[in-house]
Amino acid sequence: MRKKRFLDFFYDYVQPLISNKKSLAGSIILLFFVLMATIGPMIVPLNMNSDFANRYQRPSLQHPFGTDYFGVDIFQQIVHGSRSVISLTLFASLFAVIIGTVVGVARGYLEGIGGKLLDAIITVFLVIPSFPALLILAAIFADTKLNTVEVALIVAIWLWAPLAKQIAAQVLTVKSREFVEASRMLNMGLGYILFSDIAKLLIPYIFVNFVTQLKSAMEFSIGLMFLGLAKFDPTHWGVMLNYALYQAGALYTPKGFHYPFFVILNIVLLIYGGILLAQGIEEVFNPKLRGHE
Amino acid sequence: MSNRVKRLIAVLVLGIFFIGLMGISLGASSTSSAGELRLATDWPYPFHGNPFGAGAVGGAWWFVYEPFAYYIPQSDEYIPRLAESWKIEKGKVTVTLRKNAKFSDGKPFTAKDVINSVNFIQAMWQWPYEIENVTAPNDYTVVFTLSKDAPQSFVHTILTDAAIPALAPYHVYSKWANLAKEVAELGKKIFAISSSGKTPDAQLKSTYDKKADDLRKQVNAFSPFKTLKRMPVIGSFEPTKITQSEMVLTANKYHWLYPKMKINRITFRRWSSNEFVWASLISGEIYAAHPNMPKDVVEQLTILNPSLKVKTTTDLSEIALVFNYQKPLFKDVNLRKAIAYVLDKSKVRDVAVWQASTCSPYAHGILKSMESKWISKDTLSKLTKYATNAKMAEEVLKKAGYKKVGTTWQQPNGQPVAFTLSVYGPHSDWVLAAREVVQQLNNFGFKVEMKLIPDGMRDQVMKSGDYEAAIEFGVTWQGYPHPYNGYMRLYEADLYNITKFPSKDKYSTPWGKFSPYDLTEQLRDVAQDKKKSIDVVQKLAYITNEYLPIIPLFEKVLPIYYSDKKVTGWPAKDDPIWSLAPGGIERVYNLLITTGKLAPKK
Repeated sequence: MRKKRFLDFFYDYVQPLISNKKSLAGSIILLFFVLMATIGPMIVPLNMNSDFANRYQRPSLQHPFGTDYFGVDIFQQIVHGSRSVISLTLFASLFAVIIGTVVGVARGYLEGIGGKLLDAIITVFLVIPSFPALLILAAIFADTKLNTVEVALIVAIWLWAPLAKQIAAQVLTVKSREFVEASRMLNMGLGYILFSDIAKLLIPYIFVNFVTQLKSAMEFSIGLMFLGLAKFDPTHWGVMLNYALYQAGALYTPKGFHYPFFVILNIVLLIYGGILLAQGIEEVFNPKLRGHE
Repeated sequence: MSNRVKRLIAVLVLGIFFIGLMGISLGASSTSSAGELRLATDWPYPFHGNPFGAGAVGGAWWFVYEPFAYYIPQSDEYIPRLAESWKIEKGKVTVTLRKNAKFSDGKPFTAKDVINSVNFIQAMWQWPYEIENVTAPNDYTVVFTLSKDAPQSFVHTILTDAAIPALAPYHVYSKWANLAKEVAELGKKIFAISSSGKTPDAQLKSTYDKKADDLRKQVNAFSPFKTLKRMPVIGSFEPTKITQSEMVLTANKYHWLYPKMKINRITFRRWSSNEFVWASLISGEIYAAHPNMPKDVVEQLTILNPSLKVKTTTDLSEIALVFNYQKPLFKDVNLRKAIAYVLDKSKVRDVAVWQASTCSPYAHGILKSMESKWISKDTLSKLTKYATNAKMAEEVLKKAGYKKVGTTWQQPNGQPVAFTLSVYGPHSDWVLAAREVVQQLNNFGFKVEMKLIPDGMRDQVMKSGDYEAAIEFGVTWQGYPHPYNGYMRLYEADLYNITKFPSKDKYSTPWGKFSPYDLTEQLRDVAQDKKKSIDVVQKLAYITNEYLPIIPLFEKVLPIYYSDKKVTGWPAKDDPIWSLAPGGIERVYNLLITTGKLAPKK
């Protein structure tokens, strides 16, 4: 029985994803970064001692990504930084998607005062300028040592509202469909209608949003570090990029070109991997996009 | 619509677009006229032209206001500006004003303007109460009577601070002159009572608060730029056109040095970021600026714009590692000594500000560039040298009962030596220094984390004591290049307020036991007497070096980049005039322009 269930799951969900080129490529890229974050730091040692005389060394066998402004190996920093980047951005995106989906689905379905109240909450979070709000949060939490999950939650607070607004709009179009009417006639509970009937249809859409949130989550997490809210991590890719562009001026010297390049390359690859997977999932599970098959 | 008409409209639109572009580029190039110096700075927008308003006049300050004199630290020379001469007596300074000085609207500058300015700054800023009274025996003489508590160094402030002579011209600010005088008098009275240890009368205090609030409300809201359609100034240039991105100053044709001036226009680009200034220097958009620049960027800059030269001069300040003495960890001088031995300050300097001067191996509170002038060889031989030496650090710690368990040092009470190093985020050179300091201390076996102080919160964090250790300005001599300035900052004022180092305690020295606070007070009283000052400085240097209230990291320098492509006449690199730059680089440009040295390249 368990084997059958596993096979059903495999044929229904995994095989279509493997056979889709985009989702396969996206999965491979993401798997690469997950492996980098999990076992990479165990294999690649990190030496952060600065060696100013050897700054901006070009990529070589000794330094695959070259050295940075401090003369520190960039590859080692990328590997060690991947852990905080990936965990923080994944958590933040996940929380934002959960909050955005729950509030968005509820807003789309509910009518009357409840719906208006949710709408007002979404609008408030949409219009609050995030940077001054983060400054206030920095002042409030200045003395608190926040862990990754807590920081991710703070980041998620500023990311969920646009998604909720979009999902609410989607739900409004779905809720008058026949199967939802049928559930209502059968007196199915609100939770069932919201999260079994409606939310299921939105899964590919939510996943695409989850991936696009990664970039914003990364930007916010860097912002929090520079606000002193999150623990400062010199190997975080965002901090590395900030050092490269604003403090070391690497773009102003040909010697330093590889410094921001490799950091940006990894950020782009991580996000591109997510986008490919999201597009693949949409193609596989959205019947409209599979129409040509 | 026929195709022909559509094509015609498209051609018309394109034509308008190109004409617009040409207009923009012509407009931009028309600002690049002869006799112009292009710089970068910041200013409030909308521009009000009121020195008491928010943001004052921004970087135009030293072009629009003149002091009685400029002081050149390197040659120890005063250059008269608004003063023709001055006489210093005990508790009194008599200044003879320049008779041919005029405001940019043609009105003459007289003693009335000086008295009005002093009243205004005392009323608006509650400073400088060291001036007890200003009188005018005639239109061109002013006598400053100083309070008995005024330090000798205050004479230097009177002579060189541009706010004192003509910040509030009488003919522009006459509407509030009486009220300003009244508020200034009340403020001085309250200050004198408080200074004598008594509590000012509540009635007096309430009258003062009411009148001062009233004055501040009215004066802060005043915009000469809006009301008078101009800003009459005593300086060599008047702001004439101000937008968000550009501030243009035009030469004051009534300035007594106007006939000598060959530069008649200053154009400021907004200093939005260091990177903007780097790019503007490379492209030749600005002719001079003083941004911090990484070594490789400087090399690239000289390749791309060979006309650029760089001169570094001391900023009369140092960057230091400071401690919060309200945290028990740092009360132990042995730990501070160990940290001083661990740190490789040359490495810190390399990554933070490569042009900066390496710090002295001592931590005596005297800038390295001034060490030979103020500390005798005999005193130096008595001081501990903190050259990088991890073994010495270990010895000091072990002797004091610290233990290394595994890779981490533990205090005698068994707790790890762990602390957070705070650094102000927007100061990129400080952040780089902090990163290096954290790395070195962690390598040694301390557990140090780095924390960034957000933009705009430095004062709040440091003053509230919400930090353990931090990167900050150490001793600074800007304004008045005398050790008193540095020690006052360390033991009585700014740094003392944030570190709370027990400066009133007595510390052993080869000359007996002294408190650095008392010694600083003594130094204040003898500041004008170099021999007596040197005597006090030896004791202060000893205490500062042996009890390490702070650990200096490097002496800051001001890198000045200037191009001779459009403007010539820049002084030689060893010219003492460059030493006027710390605390107001525009003074150098102003002096060079008004003496006719800077001229457009033909």
